Amino acid sequence: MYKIILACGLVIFGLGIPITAFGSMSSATYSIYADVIGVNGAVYSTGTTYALSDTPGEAVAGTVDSGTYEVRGGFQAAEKDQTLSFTISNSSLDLGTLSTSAVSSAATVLSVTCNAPTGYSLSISGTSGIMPASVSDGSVTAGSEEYGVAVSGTDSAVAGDVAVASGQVLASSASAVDSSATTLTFKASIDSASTAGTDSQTVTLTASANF
Amino acid sequence: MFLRRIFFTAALFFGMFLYSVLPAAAFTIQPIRYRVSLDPGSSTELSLSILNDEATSHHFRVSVEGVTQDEHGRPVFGSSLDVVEEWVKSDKTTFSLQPGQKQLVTFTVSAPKDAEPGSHFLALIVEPVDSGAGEVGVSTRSAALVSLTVSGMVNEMVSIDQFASPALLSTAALWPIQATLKNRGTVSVKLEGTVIVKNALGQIISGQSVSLRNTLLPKANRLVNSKIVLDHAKAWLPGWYTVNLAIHYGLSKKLVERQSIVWYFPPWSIITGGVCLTGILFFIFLKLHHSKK
Repeated sequence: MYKIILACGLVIFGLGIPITAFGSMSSATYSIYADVIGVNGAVYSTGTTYALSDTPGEAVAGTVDSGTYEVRGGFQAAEKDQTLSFTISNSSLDLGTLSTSAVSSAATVLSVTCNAPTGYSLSISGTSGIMPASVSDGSVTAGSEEYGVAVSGTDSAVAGDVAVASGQVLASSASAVDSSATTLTFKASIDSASTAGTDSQTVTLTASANF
Repeated sequence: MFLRRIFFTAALFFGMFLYSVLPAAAFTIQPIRYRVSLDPGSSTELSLSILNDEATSHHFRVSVEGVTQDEHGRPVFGSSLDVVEEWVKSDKTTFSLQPGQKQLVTFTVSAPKDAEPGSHFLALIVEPVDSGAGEVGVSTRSAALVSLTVSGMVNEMVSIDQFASPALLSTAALWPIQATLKNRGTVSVKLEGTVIVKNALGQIISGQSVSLRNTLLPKANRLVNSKIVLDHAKAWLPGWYTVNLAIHYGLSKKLVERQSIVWYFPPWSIITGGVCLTGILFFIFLKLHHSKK
């Protein structure tokens, strides 16, 4: 009798294990998008120049691909849905009245959040309108008719003042970013021979993940 | 009453400050990369989600553009870059979103029966219609990248169009390497590169991998910059050295190589050679001097 009870208890317990392995992995305040039953817990190792996240003990892990598909097996291959968010602090910039004695400037801050493992790029994809001549020597200088943009921030891809031209990459990262801020400072200056008038331009910026 | 005034003023000030630092335009798109495979004459649908992250409603516009790469592997957008731009139609081009509202846009991609096999790339663009005004108006767009492969016979081919090795004569132990790769095939390829330096005896002096970044798209160029730091213990022999740049690419792991010759003289050989030359010249001078006597 005792043996029968013990056997039934073992069977019920054994059946109960897979049931308890499944369940909701989310609540109102959290969600777990991936889990694994392995030999050891996920290990995150870092050095001065590297970071490694590994999961030992998995039965099948690795990447298999061809020209038209890719299978990434294992816990570490699990990714959240990839999203891209792009914010600008000020989309209307006024340089004011240009003068020959000083460089006029106006700045705006761009913020990008992108969780693609290949990172993102931000570039000028188009311009329309009329502005002073584009800067060519890397610096918009007072007393010269020049127009350009300076980029600052962790992901800045340019040095000095560059022309506001289609195809110019302004910021880029090779890994995922969260609220990465990049400041664009548009600059303009004129010389004594510059023609009087009102100039304006619309600059189109495009952000995307990298291939 | 006085405290109410202080509280109201503080709340008004704080509210004004908070309003002034709020972003002017914010939205999220998902997914941001697609990999699609099509047979000629077939079609597929891509769904793009747009979420208005702002506290105000906005009007959005979706469009399709071509995309290629610059020499650093970063996407560059434009119109009429690839015939695939004409294969795509969306179920809506403009729409309005309330704060926190999400919109799903469906793009139908139809490959013609005579579509050329290989890789094609395009971008699904989302932008707020109400762009900025002012002297410089900045319009922002987000793009989802689509990698479309049309099935059929494809060709993987990468060439090294330019290979600038160190100078022909060098005494420095740091050699800069620069090369330009071009994808002349019909599909995008992954790249792996190595640089190997051998001395005149055929011994490997240095071997290192080269950073080639991400996938190389068809017709795109990739700039390669690397440096070779010679180990003085291995590169002690003066003479000619060969620098070999090897690039493996694609699923077929094809190989393309370029080689150059460098005459390298380590510091000790310069000093030794100078001393020997000085001694020889002095000996010649003495001989001539004695001859005159």
